[in-house]
Amino acid sequence: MAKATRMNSCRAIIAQTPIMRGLAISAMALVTVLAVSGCRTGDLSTFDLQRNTSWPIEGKILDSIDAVDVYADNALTVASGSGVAFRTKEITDGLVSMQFTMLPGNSITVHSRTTPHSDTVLQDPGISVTIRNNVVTVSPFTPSVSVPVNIQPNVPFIVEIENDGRWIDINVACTHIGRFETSRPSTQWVIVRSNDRASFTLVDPKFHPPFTEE
Amino acid sequence: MHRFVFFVCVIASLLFCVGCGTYTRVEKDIYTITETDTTVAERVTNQPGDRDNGVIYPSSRTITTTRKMVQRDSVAERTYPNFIRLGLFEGIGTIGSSINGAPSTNTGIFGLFHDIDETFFNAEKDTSKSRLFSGEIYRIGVTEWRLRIFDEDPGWSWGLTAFEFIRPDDGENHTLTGAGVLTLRKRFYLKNTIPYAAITPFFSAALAPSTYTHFGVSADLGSIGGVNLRLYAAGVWGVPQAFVFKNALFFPYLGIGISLFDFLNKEEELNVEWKYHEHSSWDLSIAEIVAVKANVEEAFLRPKEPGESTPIISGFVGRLVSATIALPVLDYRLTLGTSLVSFLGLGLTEFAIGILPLRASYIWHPFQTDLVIEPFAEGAFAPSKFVHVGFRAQMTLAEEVSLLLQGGFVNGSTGSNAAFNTEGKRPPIIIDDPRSFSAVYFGFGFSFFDRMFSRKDLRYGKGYPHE
Repeated sequence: MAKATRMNSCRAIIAQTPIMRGLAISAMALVTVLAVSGCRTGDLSTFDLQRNTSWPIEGKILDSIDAVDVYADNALTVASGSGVAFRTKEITDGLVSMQFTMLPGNSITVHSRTTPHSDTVLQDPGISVTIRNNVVTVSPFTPSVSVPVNIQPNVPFIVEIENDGRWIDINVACTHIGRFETSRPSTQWVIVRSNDRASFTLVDPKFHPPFTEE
Repeated sequence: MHRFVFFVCVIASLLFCVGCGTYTRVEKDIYTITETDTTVAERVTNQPGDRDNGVIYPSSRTITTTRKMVQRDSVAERTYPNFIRLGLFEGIGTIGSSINGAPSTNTGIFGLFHDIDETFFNAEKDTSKSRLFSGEIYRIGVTEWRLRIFDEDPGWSWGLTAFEFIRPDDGENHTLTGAGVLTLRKRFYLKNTIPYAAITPFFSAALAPSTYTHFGVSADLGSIGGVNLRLYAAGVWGVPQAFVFKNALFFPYLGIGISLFDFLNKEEELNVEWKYHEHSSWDLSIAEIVAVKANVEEAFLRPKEPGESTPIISGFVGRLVSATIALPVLDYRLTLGTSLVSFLGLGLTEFAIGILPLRASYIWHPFQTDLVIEPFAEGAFAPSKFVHVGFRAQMTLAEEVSLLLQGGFVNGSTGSNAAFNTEGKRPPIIIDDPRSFSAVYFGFGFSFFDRMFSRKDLRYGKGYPHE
């Protein structure tokens, strides 16, 4: 009985202490801030590029958000084993152009005519352009397409992919890889993945609708 | 004050319905499909009569080549869940929460087992016995969204509870109610297959109608079919009236909780389309009601006048918040389920209420339609004790509405010391022991806000990651 009384008076003291009251109010404020900030920032796996251009780009980080650093309005780095997807809304056919810089030992895969959404990208990687230091391969065409291209580590190079109806035209580092016919529908998205144990930098991606010149 | 409480409840409901976050994420993709077609038409018309033959013999052949290209856009919409947790109801029975030796709420484990006589007939609370469970906590409308903090550390979530009701005991001014309760949780998963097991520290705060903070840790098991079990070790500090720092309460407690219609997603499940989601239940339903004809002397709601016969509808049976979970036998067609409340009101003296009854059944689809035949056996131990066996046929009428045909046999006791006499006199007479009864019934009714699943919807045998 005495123990119970002691316990109850202890509870009463804790309940009425101004410090506890302040602590509780602070904690409530903290939770409110956390909740409101979580509400405001929303989905951290999405980002925007080229915001002040006529064709702004919407991006999506496919794996850990810490693996991608969007450090400028037109540039980002992607860590090894990670990937990003980006699109300009409504543009499916047309030219997408971007500049890459690879670190030694890395390879990059650029997917076109697919989407980053799980059910399709897992089963259908679209048309994949894999860029290594000395060769570019394109799949899934038969016979397989493999074109030697000299790409130096740490030296920027341009990748251009033009989708035009049933045709896709690919240029990597000023080398024409080929013009391929495909029945896959064009999509808005381009997916870029870093395959090996190094990161790459992607600078100034741009989508141009078909039949336009700048 | 009442207006203020009403206002807060309205705001909380709006928050729950609209939410800072959403429950479904929609991804829209545009595909441009290009179709080309080339038509070659050759036409040769032989002209009658002589012709002048030259070095090149003149031909009447004409070749027309027509190329046609059609481009059309196809828009695909994919829907994904966008919440970590979405729950309808949670009940917790608390141990050791009594303040200043106040009596128990007498609601037992999960805080749900209210005495029938106290609830419906204003019977005096029995304080003669000591009770293990002192109080109760209810949560209605629990939502949680992913919180990306600490370098995207997994398991963090923040949420809102539309309504929370905390009674540590039956003492006066010991009740705390919160609307729009903010909650922060971190789940440490111990088991990564369904049902998940996790240790979850949490912190929540409510501003009104009571102002309080609630903090602690829970051991969670679930969800499977929306059913979760939780053990709590937590504390509550607060004042019953918002911002009036008088009569402050503080109590620690141990708790045992259950939640129904409470669905949990791990982070990776937020990237799985709704149509590929993993389902463990044959049926989930919020409310069912069946009007019945039973072999009773007097109807449940309408006492018989002298010389009057029993009406054709003598009562009704119903269930609230039910889950029918597939068991891994007989091609997963044997099930185990429960409901928040199972009510059998067959006649004036033949009624029973089961809280969290256990229900075994077999699911049979006789045709390739939404018709389900389900023989079942149900048992409840409180507040009424009964065994209920029968069958039911359920057919989907529209989205979230089904037609029910149900028949069964009930044997048990009402669990109430109040009993209506057969002349229908009210208030009821008091009897020493709850009245026993048995009855057979048959009836039809409807199930509302329900979702019936087919065998191909169940997650088993598909190699899903959380099987």
